[in-house]
Amino acid sequence: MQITKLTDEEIVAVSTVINEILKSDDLSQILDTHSLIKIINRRDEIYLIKNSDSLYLSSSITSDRGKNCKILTGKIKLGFFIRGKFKIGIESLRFLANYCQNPIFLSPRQAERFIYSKDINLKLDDTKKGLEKYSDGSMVLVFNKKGIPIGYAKILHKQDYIQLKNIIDIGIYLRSEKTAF
Amino acid sequence: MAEQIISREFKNRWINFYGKNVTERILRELEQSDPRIISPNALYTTRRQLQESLESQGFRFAPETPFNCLILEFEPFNIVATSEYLSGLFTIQALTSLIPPKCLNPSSESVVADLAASPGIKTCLLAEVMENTGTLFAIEKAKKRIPALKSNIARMGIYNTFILNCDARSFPGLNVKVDHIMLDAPCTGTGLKLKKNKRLERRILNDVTRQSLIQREILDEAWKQLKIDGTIVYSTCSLEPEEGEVQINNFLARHEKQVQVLPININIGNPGNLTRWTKVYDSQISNTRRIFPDQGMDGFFIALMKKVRE
Ligand SMILES: C[S@@+](CC[C@H](N)C(=O)[O-])C[C@H]1O[C@@H](n2cnc3c(N)ncnc32)[C@H](O)[C@@H]1O
Repeated sequence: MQITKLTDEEIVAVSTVINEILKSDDLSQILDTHSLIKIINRRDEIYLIKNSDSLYLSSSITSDRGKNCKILTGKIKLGFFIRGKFKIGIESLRFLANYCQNPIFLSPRQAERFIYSKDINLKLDDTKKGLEKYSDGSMVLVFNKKGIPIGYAKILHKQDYIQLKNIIDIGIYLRSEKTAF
Repeated sequence: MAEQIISREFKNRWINFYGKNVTERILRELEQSDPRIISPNALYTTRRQLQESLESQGFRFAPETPFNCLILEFEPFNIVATSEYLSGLFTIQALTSLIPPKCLNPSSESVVADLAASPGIKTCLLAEVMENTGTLFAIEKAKKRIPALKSNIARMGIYNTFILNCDARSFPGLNVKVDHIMLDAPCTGTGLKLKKNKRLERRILNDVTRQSLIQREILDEAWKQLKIDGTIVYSTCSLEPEEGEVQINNFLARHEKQVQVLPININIGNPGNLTRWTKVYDSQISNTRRIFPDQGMDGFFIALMKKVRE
């Protein structure tokens, strides 16, 4: 079967990452009206669909002729599993940005570097951004000054600075349309 | 000079169908290069905001704003490298691409299908018209064209779309009835500007026959899945009548009394016209639209049809 539900462990893995990014448990609210599905393409991809959409999935799977017309993606791609670990996908950016409680804003120069997949080092006195409170390795959604989401980063606490380690950014649309999607 | 861009066979057909003057103009226009047309993504920005933010980086635009688009006059560097482009604040396309999505009138509950989707420019414009709500099925047959479709949909922040990799003719297999269909059909592309159309001079009549058969088959399968009162917008970037006026005229004959051709409220192009092709034809053809290549526009044909009964 190409489209399946997630196992309990997979649901936990997905919610842990998403809630960490949102700094809230908004995912459980989203799941009141949406369902998680897994589509097995090149990787195990995780999507959100509206609860009412599940009817399309079943008709695509059960109907005989449906075999020739398979659904390849759901509506909202959150990410994918690689070697048992859930990785956030760039496709989720605009959707999750709507729910993000603690946005991190970068200056124009920092944002430009970030879009070129660079890590950003922030001096401690620059941390009016309030990054100290996040634990080492926690994920954040990164915005530019204009409030546009530009990617995901991991927070790493170094001796005298905090690093935003680039996980994925919108520069990918320029770098690799063919390979990444 | 102009004669080399397309075979004499095609040129003669155009002269027969459109007349000599129009054909001369078509040949001239096909050789022109187009300005880049920027369509702001209404889901995440406004034209004014986008313009300001691009102008502050040195981009310059023409004063006129057709279809609420910006016409790029000067770029200090390639505009696809801006964070505005990468964050999906606009698409770049011909003005004609904006027409089919804007012809449909979906509600927030609508189920819509785009039956020939890649690279997905019109899919994105349609999702915008749908305000990112309802359900949009984006169907594309060519597997190698799927990554571009996925990339555009992701970049533009679109969240109402299922992508399907299949032949539009097997769409009925999905068992879904839809409120609206956009069929921007595969075609010979003889209306495309030369810059985008390196193979124009190699087009042969057989291509027209082959493409118009596929269009006919997709149209008929699509029609089965359309709900009563639902609409389908059909378009091609071809100047051949078999892929435009004649295709629709035959469709009307096959589906007699089921179809109402709705007028398209734009002031570019001309009403579809078959007087130079045949004596007897459906008068509803005059509600279709024939657009000749022009500034920022490809040669284009478009028809909007409503299913009035099964
Ligand atoms: C004119 S292009 C569509 C352009 C697209 N609407 C846009 O605005 O970006 C036609 C597309 O139809 C695809 N196609 C060709 N035959 C098809 C079929 N039988 N079913 C579905 N798609 C098909 C082609 O691969 C091509 O990508």
